[in-house]
Amino acid sequence: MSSTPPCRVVQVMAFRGDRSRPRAAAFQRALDDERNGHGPGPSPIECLLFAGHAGVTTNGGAAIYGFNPDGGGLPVWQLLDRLKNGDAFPAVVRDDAFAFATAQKHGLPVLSFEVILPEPRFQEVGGALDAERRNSQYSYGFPNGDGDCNCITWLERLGLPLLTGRMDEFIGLTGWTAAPSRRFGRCV
Amino acid sequence: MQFRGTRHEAERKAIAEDYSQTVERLIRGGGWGEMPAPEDQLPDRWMPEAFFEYWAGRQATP
Repeated sequence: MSSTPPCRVVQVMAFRGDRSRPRAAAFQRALDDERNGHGPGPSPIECLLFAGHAGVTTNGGAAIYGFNPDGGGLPVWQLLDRLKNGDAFPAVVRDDAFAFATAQKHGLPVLSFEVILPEPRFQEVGGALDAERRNSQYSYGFPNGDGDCNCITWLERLGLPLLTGRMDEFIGLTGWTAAPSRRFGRCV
Repeated sequence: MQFRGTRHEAERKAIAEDYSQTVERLIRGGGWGEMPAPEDQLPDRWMPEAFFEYWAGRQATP
C-alpha cells in the first residue's frame, strides 16, 4: 500500500473589473447619485464587476468563496472612499459564484488556475477556509492601508501558494518597482 | 497606494499633486479609456475635479 497521499485540487479564480469609459461613467454616476440622495448607489454585484474580484473553489466552481468588506450599512460611496483613504473594515467571506457567473455573462474573462496539494495540505487549506467562512479573522483594506488583506492577498492568508516557483515569474512581478514597500495591517 | 502609506497631510498633499498632474496628462492625451481600479484612486476630497468631469460629467463646483 502506497503511503503517498492523494492529490486534491483547489482552484483560484479571478476576473478583472470592467472600467471602460461607459461602464466607469455609469458606476461613478451611481456613486454620485447615492451621495447626493438621488439614487440607491451601485449594487454589490455592480461593485465587483467594476472592481474585479478573486476567489477560491474546492468543488469546481459550484461555490466560489471571496473576501469582502463589511461596511455595516455604510453607503457604498462612503465605504469606497474610506477604503481609498486606507481605513480597515471587518470582512465577510461569502459564496460569490453568482458574481463570477455574471462577470462571464458580461464577457469579462474569468481566469483560473489549479493548486494541486497533497491531501493533508488540502485539509489544512479547507479548514482555514471553513473557519474564515464562519468568522473571518482578518480585516479588509485596500493595498498599503490599515486592513490585513483584500480579496487577492486573503488567498495567501489561507495558505495557498500563488506563485509557481519559476524565477522568471517572480522577477517579472511589477510590484518590485511599483510597490517596493507594502503594509498589511495597522501598525505605527 | 503610496497615498495610503502615510497619514501626514503634507506628504499626502504632495502625492495628490503628483496624481493630479498624471490625471491632467492622461486627459490631455485624449486616449484615456479605462478608469483606474478603486485601489489606485485617491479619496474623493483628494481627487482633482477634472477626474470627475472626465469620467462622470460632474460639473465643477464654483
